[in-house]
Amino acid sequence: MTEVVIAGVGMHEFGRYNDKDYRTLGSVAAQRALKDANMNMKDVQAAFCANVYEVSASGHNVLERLGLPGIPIVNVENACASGASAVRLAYQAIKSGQYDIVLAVGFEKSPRGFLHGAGYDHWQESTGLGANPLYFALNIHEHMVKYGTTKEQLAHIAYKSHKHAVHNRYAMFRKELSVEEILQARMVCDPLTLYMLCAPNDGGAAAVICNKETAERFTQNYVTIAASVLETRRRRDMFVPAVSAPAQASYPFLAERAAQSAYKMAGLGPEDIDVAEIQDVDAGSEIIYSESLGFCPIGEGGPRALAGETSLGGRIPINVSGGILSRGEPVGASSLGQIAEITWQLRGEAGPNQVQGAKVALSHSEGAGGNSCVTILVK
Amino acid sequence: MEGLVKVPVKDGLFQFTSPSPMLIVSCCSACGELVFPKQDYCPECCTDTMEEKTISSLGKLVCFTGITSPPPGFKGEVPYTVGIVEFPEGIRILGVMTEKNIDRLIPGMDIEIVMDTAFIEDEKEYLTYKFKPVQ
Ligand SMILES: [Zn+2]
Repeated sequence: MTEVVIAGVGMHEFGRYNDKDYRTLGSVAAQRALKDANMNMKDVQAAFCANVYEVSASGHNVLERLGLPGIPIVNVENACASGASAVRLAYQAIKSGQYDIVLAVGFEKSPRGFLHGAGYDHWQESTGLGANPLYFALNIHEHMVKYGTTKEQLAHIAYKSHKHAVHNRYAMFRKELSVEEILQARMVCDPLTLYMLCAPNDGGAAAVICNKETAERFTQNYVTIAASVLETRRRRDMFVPAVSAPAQASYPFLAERAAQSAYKMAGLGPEDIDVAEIQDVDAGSEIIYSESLGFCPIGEGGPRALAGETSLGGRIPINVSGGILSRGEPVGASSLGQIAEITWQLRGEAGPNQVQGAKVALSHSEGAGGNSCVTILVK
Repeated sequence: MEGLVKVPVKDGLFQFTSPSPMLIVSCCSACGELVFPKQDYCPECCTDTMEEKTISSLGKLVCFTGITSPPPGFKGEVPYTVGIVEFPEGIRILGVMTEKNIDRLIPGMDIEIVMDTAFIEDEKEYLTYKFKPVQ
């Protein structure tokens, strides 16, 4: 059985770079990942390139800066899950035996402000229903009504994110914020204030995926991909851009289904995970997904976070990189950034945010269209 | 809005000329799944077994949010509110609410469907369905 590993990862710092185009953001990340794996573009046999907002063949334009070995290059667009979807394609290409070394790279130079084009019909946008944060706000408000989740718990998620991000050179926001500052910031979509929502920004992230035997010729510092899963929305998942859902349904929600598939594939359970990067596109999503991924019972995500269980040093540290709330979200690069972060955690290279002795790590991305990717890495 | 021609924001979403405003939904003749807006294929059965029905009943407000800055492509006025309403037929529907802010909204309150102005453009009054708390 082929063991698929990540031989190297790299990121271009997430932020706002008016002087850099997507080619630079992507090629810097790819170059760093190749260097981390002790390789260059000549070693790569195929590449999957994740991006959402650029013109056609953007991945080709990124990689030509690192050499033109004539390999197959495929561009991948899957909203917030684009990067992890590219990793999944690379994983399958190695697993099938077709290639020995595949590059997955994600990059984005985001348009500023609210993001357009998440699949809304014209009438949804013109009447005021076509905005992603509105869905995040409604999801967490229902959670508050049902389980008693509080605004203070939401503020704590943003507080925790910013506190951790102080030490992360790849994050955009690296300033600690008080719970009061977060609660008193401008209300964007009640109950979510400005600091409880992520900002679209610019960045790149990449991973070199190989079979274990090939990786060992270049580096001993690899981690194994135990699961790589992509699932999409069913009717019950009232996510961007859905307008209706059945009132009663017996099957689990999207993130729960993707997590169950990933745990089954890895032969592991949520209790085995030492550190996780999950889709905290807003503070409410981190609470909801921490439950969907099985890290605590449904309804307890808020109190558990407030009690410190998901902070560095807690039972299950979540988004100790600062997550998407502090890194910002260059959509095409974001979930590859998560995978880079958990790779560093398993290699013991996460600096002040290191989870001591981390052996199993999970990343989860979820976004427009109703895409959910769960990746599990083991040391 | 006297004198302006009234047009729906999209055909096939609702009936606005009947005395009681109604949303147009699809119901699967095989499994009973309800979908709004209407569509040809059942998302559960994946067959073209959908039949057109209407909903005009009172629903319950599940959750809501208030918006103060106009999102991209929005042609109406801020502030406004949006909610998810659950109807006894077994479907949850997302919609703009008649309230400007969330102060008087309560989870679980009764909601009726009304027709209201979405925005005015080219001397036409564009109508949409809205959710209104029952007084
Ligand atoms: Zn059906």
